[in-house]
Amino acid sequence: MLFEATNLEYRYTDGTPGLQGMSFAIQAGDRVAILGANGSGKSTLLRVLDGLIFPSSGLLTFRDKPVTELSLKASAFNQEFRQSVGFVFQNADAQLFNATVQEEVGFGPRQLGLSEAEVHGRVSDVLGFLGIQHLAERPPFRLSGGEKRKVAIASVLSMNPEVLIFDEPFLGLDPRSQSWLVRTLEQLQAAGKTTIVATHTLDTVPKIADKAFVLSESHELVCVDAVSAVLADKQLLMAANLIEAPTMAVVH
Amino acid sequence: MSSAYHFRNERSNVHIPDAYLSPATEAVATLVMVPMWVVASRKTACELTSKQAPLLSIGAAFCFAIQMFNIPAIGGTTAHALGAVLLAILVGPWAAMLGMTLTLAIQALLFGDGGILSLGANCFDMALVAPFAGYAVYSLIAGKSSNLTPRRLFAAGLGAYAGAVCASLSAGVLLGVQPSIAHDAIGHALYCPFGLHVTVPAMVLSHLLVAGPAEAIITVATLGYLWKTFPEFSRESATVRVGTKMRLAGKLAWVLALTPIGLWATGTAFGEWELSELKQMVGYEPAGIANAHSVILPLLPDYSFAGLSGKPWEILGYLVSALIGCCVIALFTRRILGRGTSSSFDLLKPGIPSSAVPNWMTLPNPPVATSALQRTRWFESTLLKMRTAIEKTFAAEEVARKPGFLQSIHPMAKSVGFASAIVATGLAQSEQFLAFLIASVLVAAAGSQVPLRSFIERVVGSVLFFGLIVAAPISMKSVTSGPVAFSILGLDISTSGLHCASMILLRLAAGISLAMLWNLTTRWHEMLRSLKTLGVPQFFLATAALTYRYLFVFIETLAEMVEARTSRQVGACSKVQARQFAGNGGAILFAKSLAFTDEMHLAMQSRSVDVSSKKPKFTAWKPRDFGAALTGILCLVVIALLGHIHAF
Repeated sequence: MLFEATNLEYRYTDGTPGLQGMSFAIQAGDRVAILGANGSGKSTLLRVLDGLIFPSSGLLTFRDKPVTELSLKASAFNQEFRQSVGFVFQNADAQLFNATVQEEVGFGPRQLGLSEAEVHGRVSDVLGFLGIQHLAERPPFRLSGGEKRKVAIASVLSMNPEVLIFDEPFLGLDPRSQSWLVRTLEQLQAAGKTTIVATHTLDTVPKIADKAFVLSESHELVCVDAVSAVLADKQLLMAANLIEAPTMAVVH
Repeated sequence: MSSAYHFRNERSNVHIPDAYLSPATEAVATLVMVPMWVVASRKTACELTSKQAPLLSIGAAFCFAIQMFNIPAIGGTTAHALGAVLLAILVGPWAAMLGMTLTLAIQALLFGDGGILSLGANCFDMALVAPFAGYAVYSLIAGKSSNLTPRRLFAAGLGAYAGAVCASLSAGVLLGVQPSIAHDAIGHALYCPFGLHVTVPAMVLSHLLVAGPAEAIITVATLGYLWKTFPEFSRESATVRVGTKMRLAGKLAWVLALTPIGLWATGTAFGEWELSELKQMVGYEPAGIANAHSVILPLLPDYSFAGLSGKPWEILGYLVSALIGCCVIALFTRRILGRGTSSSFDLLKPGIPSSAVPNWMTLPNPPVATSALQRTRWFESTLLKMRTAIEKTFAAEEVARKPGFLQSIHPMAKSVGFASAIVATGLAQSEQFLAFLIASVLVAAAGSQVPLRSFIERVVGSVLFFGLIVAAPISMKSVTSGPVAFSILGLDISTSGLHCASMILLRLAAGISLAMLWNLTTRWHEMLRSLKTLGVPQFFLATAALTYRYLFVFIETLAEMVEARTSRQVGACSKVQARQFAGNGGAILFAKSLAFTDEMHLAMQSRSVDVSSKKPKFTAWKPRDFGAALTGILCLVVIALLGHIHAF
């Protein structure tokens, strides 16, 4: 089992809940979509899955090893976890902290201890794969929104993680870039990657996932089911405030 | 120890807390600064266009944020930059002075860092001395060279270095004169107990070797990057000349030669002045000062030449330190210029994706080389601790919103009350009074729904950090003479020494807890409004309001950058990487926020937000507001009376 969560709870420092009693399992090769309204805890859940923040109670395991602040301090597990799990942040701007695109994309592989030649090879492969070779020398934060998203994705792909976590990847992309991203995700999934995508863009969900987690506004995991079943369940989607309830006028 | 102490400790190397300086010194420093602030406001208001005004706020917020970047320095120590000279190079020294003042004011008023009474003295060191001295050195060496040349970057690095060292010298002098000007009748120091012989070498040497190079690294990295990516900052057209030799030996030697001359000058001036001339001037030599030196000098880790007495050795020590610092800067400048200038990539036309997933992406990663695993983790832990500390500090605004007792008091009344009480703390010479004051603060904190445990933890942490280094040696018999109270580890502790030490610790605790309670129970905009009624110029307050807004942007961006890095950091990062991250991080933080400013400025304009047109609207004072103000003033009166009784 890749990820297994039992009774995950997360509370912010001021005590407000972020996640409430979540239990689930994610297997290698799964294509998971995490659905929920704004503020339902999607980003928090992804941050927990990436070991950036840690649950206040409950247990998360990765390949049957607990993911805790302490376990990630151990070099061997830290190394295994960080190179196996890649996270594309919702705010692409926030993710970019290097001076140029090529340094940004090369940061991960350099961490893995690859030789400069290998790093260079990976960087140019990934930039080629995403079609952004021409940006190599540019500073990342002076790019357009779509370009920034591509660089953010490239910076994670160059580490070749087994699990790819995306937080709202379609946000702010034009329709052409959205379909480009869907195709890229499909290619990565075909290459054997496990993908976990948080989104509220429902129309893309059937193409990029076959398993859906639905989070309620009370930060609970209310449903884990096949995407087709979840999207057909209008009551559930309404309860999670993902679609609008029919107005009274229609009922009349 | 909780992260809050860590956070405070890391950024207080030049910040002088309350209770270290006598109220007279604090008053004089503030009086010197007032005309400076007036001139700076006028000059800045003329020079900066309306669009550049946010740049000043950004600069202030940037200085604040940059002080959070820790750079690994020699011997396992860390240092952070002030950002004063960087700001002076970007916006000019007068505007930089305002920016630094804003930073320091926010630190003191909002974060309880650095002391409220000593704000004037801190501004003197870091807002006046640092940017002007640094900018002078920078313009002297840079001459008319264009941006991004090795010469201009090196000049910036050396300027930053000089600024940091001068600020530390000034702080060392302010602290060092305390025993001579403030002591009781039998010669026991009332405030900072160390003379110039101790404070100047301690401050200056640590800055020559550690904090100065850190300042230079941040400044050079940030400027190098900014000039490269934002050519609009350049006054002349930017040309990158990488291979050019630095023909600066002459000017460098000149500046280096100045260092020991200056110190030699101060050495004679203060060295002789302090003990003999001052004796004649004041009429008696404060007891304990001479003793203090013999005990404390060997305790100071940075005073590496303590064993070798005599002026030539001292000068050599400074000279070697300065030389090491300059070499670090020169090497770093070379690295900055040499990096990323040549491209090894074939720049293709946009939009030609290779449709296939690269082959290595379908295979598992090769195992990481073991060398990559044996690294220290201090960098990550420092940054994460810092983040938690920031979250905690911002939780203060939450406390200020609670319906507690002090929150309901009129902000003006609170300002009067707290300010008087803090002044009283500075003047107090009675342990009972200070203990009573601390107890009252705790009662008031409890009545204002302040979480008591973390409040006490923070006060105790600060007192221990700031106080022990001073209080421990002062309690020894060899420093403060008197009957022996008890011995510990072979050191005799005298009763009068114990009294002196407890006075300093109590005064520190009272000052810190008062300042902390003040900023915990007052919302920032109320603080600004009450400052306006006290006559602080509108231009300054408008910039302060903007700065406060940017502060959140910066800290959010900083937190995001750290998180993004953690997510892709395999194992721990090396010291070299940490230095690079600090250098680049500063530049990128600034550039990112700059890209954000225009938008935010426009958004504020479109909602017709004009801070300047707002008149402070205050309700009338209620009886309890008068009560609160009177309580503080009462403290002052009690102190005055006690002093009177004492005198007779």
